Amino acid sequence: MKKYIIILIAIVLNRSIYAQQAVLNDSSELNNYAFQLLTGEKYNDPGYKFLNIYFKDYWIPGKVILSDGQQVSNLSLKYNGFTNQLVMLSNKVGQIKIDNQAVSEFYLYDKEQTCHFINIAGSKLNLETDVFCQFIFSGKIDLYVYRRIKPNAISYRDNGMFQIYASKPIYVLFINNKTILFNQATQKAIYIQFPYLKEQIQQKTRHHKKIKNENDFFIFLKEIEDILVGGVK
Amino acid sequence: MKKNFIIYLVLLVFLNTMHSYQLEAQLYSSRSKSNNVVYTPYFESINVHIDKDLYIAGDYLFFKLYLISSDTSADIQMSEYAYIVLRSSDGNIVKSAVKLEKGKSFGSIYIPDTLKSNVYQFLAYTNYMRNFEEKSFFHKNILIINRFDKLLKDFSVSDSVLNEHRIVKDDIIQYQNKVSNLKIELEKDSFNVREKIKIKIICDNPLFSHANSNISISVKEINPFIDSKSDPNSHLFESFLKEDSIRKNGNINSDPTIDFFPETKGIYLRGRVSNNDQSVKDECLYISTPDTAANLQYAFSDSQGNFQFLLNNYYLGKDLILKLRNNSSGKENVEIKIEDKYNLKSRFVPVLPKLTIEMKKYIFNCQDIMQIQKTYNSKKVVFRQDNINENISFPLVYKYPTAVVFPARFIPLNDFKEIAENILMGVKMTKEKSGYEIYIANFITKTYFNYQPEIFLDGVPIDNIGQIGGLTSNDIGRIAICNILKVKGMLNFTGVLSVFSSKNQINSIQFNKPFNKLKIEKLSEKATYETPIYEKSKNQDFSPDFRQLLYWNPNISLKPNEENKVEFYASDYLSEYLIEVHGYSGNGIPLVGYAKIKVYH
Repeated sequence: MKKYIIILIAIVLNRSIYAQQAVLNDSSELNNYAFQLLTGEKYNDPGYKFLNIYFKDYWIPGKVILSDGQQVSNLSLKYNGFTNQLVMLSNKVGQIKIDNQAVSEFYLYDKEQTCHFINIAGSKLNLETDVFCQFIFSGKIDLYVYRRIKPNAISYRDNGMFQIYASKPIYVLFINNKTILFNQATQKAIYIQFPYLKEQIQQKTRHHKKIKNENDFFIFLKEIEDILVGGVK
Repeated sequence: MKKNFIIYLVLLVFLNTMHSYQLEAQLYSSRSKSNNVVYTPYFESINVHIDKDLYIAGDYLFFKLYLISSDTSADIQMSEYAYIVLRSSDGNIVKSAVKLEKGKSFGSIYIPDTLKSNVYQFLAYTNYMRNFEEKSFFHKNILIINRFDKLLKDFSVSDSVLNEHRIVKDDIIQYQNKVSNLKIELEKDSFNVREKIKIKIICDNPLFSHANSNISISVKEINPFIDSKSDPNSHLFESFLKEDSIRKNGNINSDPTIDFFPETKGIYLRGRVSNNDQSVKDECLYISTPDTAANLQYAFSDSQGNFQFLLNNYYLGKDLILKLRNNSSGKENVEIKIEDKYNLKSRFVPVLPKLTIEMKKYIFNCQDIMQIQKTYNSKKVVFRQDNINENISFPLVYKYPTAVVFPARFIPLNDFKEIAENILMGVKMTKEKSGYEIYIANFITKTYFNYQPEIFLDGVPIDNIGQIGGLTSNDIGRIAICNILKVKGMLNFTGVLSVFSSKNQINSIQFNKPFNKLKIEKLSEKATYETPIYEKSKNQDFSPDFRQLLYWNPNISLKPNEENKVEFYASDYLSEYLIEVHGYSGNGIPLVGYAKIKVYH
């Protein structure tokens, strides 16, 4: 039996090596073309002075989709939630602040999960500028999270002053062409927004486990999406 | 365990060897100019349906173009751009590029009025097809007669009625029916002048996948040139099916070097940087066009001096300037050569057909009809510009400048040095041995960059500040400054100075470094043939209608389980007409169908 498994592994291994050989177009040229459309400017990382300013503090492999649909892959990206700025690490220049207007979407392929951000018009969110919002799910209702980061506290250490930032996300729900914003991922936040649906929601989620984190909240919203669609006219 | 390991090792080596042999046979390995790219062997071929067999100079040639791949797998991204050439023995007469949509395109070519009577060649190919021999390109010889050439002296004419080959029109239809796989149903086969003609196209063969089946229809006068059997130019009329099989059965170089990539996202512009035929490597090249915003695309020359731009569609049809960024080699005779995709290696030697009296009469008739059509302006071609500019990313250098200065708002200043010193904040000009230099102060560090900024005039990067040193306040509309390290792709600029002149000064400045001015043809517009509608309820149109091409519709999708109906009107021209339907089924099978109608009074 062991012998057969080894033979099987050998065959699979052998095939998978060659499966990667057929390249159908000059993908590097296409990537280079799209890469040229990325414009920006030198970015001076304030991270040493301003703590927790990024969505994730480390460089994450990612992909950018430009407004004309072109894709630029194999990038190292960071998202500055304080300035709503996508930052790219370049071997030649160092850190580059990418012009937001050119970017329609971007993906961060983090170890744990893939985060998909979409450039959403500020007018939809009562904001002055367009912002990148993390896409959570879409269906009867669409859920996005604006990964906003705001100053939280000041810390003094090593004879220096450090501004500490903290995540203050805004949850964005699109229901029947209406936008609903709330700041907390709790049941209470939903009840405040939709007091007239409280009973209905409670009835449906009687056996639902308590919301402990963001993920639980997203599952909760998915579960009550029918109620929300019916309740928001 | 050791035994198992040996089994594994032996198996791996064996499979590897087997697989390498297979790969050697199957894959064409080629080194692209910049990367190692392995291509799966597939061929692209083009088939074209042309509306007629004979054209009078000044007429339009309508075409429908089908791109077929030998590999129908979904992984293959076929070319999305094709090139069309109409050439004589002296060279190219018409050249244009078309955008393909799902492997199809249609359009028209205007045949210049001044062409002399001769046989010309129509060619169609993609960039990828250039990896193979030119005989793999679609080619069709077409006869074009000058409208005023009444003598036809270049043609030998058979005057003997006895030797003349008579066209038996029914034979043509019978022959063509043998190869047909589409049925054409008519209510009747004879129609009165200006009567509505309704035809039904039936595709009942279950082998043809209806999904995405697309056809084109021409209804043209049956003429002496339609028969190829007696003609030395037998290719004047080639069966659509024959064309297809020629390409599918090969007849093309089976071991090509892949130098030309399929153009799936845009048009490639290739060329070479050389110095006395020695390649110049690692040079950065800029391409840009005069505009109201600084713009550029860049590419680097490789070890062979070759460069390649995947050209932004925004640049098509515009006057372009291609130049080196720095000429870092410092050599004086550096030149940039641009590859011409329309430069065909093979020569075209036309063979004039021997005209019979019947053919000659037909030609005279066509000339007269063309004269009438020109007088009444009755040939109607409708051009449709597709939204190819939709979603085009402008190849900008910066989105927003840090500062914009309008010199006209200040007292008049006599040269750019005065302007820089007096009204441009954080900009200094210094005089060096080689001439003036300009520096911008970094907005963040508040110190001047050590390198000069990228300078643009009317959106185009120029070589140095000296080129615009003479511009006065009156010559300049606005000056945009970016006083920060700007980045565009792999390039970085220690500030950007962008000057927009009021009178397109870019056209009059001299570039120091090797540069080329060029224009890449705009993609040709889709063209359709407009036919009159004669309805009793409407006002009667009394202008003569001598259409020999009753109908041309290049884009009909065969709908599954539905009757595919086409309607058009007969002209005033009494003759017999051939309904010719060509196309491809969704699964790549050529579709053809023929029928004959008669227009009587």
